[in-house]
Amino acid sequence: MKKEPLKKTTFTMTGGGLLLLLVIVVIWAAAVGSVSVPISQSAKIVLAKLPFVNKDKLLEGIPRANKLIIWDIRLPRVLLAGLVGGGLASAGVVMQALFRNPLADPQVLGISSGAAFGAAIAIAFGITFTVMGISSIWMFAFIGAILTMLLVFRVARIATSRSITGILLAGIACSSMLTAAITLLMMWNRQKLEQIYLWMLGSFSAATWVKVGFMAIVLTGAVICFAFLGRDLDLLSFGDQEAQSMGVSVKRTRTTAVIATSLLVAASVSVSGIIGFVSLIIPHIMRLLVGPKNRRLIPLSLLGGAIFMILCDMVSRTAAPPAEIAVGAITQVTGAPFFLYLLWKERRREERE
Amino acid sequence: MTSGNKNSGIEVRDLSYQPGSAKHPILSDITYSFAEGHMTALLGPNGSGKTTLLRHFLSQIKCPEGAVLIDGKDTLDYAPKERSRKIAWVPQSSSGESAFTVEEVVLMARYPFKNTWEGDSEEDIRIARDAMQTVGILDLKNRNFTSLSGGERQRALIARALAQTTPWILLDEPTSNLDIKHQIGILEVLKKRVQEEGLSVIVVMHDFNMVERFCDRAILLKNGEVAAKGLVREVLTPELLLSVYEVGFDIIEKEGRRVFFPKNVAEPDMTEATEK
Repeated sequence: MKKEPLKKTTFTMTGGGLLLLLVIVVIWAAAVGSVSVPISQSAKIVLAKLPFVNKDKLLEGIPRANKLIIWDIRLPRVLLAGLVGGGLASAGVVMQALFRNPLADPQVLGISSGAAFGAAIAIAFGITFTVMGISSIWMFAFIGAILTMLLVFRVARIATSRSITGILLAGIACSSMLTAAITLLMMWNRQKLEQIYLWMLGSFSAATWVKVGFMAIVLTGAVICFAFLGRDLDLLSFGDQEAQSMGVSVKRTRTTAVIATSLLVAASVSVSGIIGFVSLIIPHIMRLLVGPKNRRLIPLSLLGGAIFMILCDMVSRTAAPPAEIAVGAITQVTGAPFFLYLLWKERRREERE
Repeated sequence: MTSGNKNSGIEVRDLSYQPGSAKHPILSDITYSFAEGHMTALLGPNGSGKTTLLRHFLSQIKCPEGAVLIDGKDTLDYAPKERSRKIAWVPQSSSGESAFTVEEVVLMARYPFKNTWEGDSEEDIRIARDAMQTVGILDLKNRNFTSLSGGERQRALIARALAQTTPWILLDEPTSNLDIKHQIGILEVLKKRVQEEGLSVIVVMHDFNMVERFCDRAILLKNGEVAAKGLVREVLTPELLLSVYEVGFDIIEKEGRRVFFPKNVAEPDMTEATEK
């Protein structure tokens, strides 16, 4: 017996470490920007919003402008990036378990393309209004995502009764159809081409507290669903029949998981555009750290995805001011090499054993 | 209705199954009572419906004619967890491809005894390690399941079924990847549990010598129909085997056991071997 697995302690330590890191990263990201605010002030402004804290004493001597910058501009953006990053990463874990495929990604369900198509319609036809803080583009993106999701499920059910591959294929088909439709919209509206393209690249520059609240609600709901499914998803890695023979309600598990991830991805994409790779890479990194148990992977990917996305967004807005670099480009440029490094290291470890 | 005692066991009643796309039924009119406390061999050539019959027990096929009753209740009426506390299943091969360790895989069998939030208790770990010890893979417990050889995997799956602590275990060709020592080892473990703890085992096998040695009952399928059923001695006769398998057998008595020697295939042009 060469090594006892210390994975439970690893899990607790990694989880604690990531939580602490997340708080630090939020405060840091809020302090950094075109107007630099000292980190101590940023920390105080964030902490002052917590309950049971003596606000007046904490905020003494901090310029009003700094309070406004942090609270009204940067913090919604930072938090939205965190919520979307965490949402996409945890959805990625569940997708990979559901499809029993390490390359499964929320985008394959066609939901992202649906959101992009909705947004493209709103932009191309110049539909602009805002109701209760909800902009038309956001609303169209979310509706587009949900409609695509329903269409995909509908087609999948017609195609086959054992639907998981059906959903995958229907998702890919809908996705390419919608991408073609978006291209047509862009060709017919050349003057809107750039705006549509930029939306699709993904950005948190249009963050508001309303979006933060919306994402927080959807993410909480999805995470509650996921919390019930952790062990079932582990057993599903042995296929539906074996899982069922060990007592898993396969259909109920699959339905719950697909609906929860779909809503989560629809919400994420509608507030931020299409930001690739987070849902793929974060779950893999966490799996290398703490093993394949979904009950550990989901919460850790949630934290890891949030941290990663906040950092990427921070780079996107500070690397080349006043321009912004597309956050999706940064997630891929930084994520891919790190991922390759981890795979290489894992390979080396296996060879030594 | 019969008394409670007679209800226990697995009873197959007039079971027929023909998928919409098939020309011939895969199972037709199977009726058989699998009695408790026995090791029953499920025999038949390839494609005779053995695996399909087992899949009905597990409710993996939902729309049969007839029924499979487990302790008097239709298997389709069981909640998955409830059923999996009655029957464990060792598939022919496992499709598990994720990075769980052998111990984690065996511990999965404790799922039907837990609510959503419960972790693995000391008791669960003890049961899992006992099961791994029984099939001789305790030293592999921290190995990646996917890194195991075919035989080790098969033993891990048997350990998983034992850890499910069910009164019934269904095994679909459990020894196909095992060397002779482990074949005998595994079957002896099962037989011991049958004799000492009242476990009931239904096992799909192709080796009549092993059936003769370890099983006491047998059911023989041909083209989805029951060709013979009863005691092993009654089912494994040269006449029946010739008619079902199209292979003649010489049977020799040695040390109180019958030994089966296959002769030539009845219709030589059906195999490639005779062309050489």
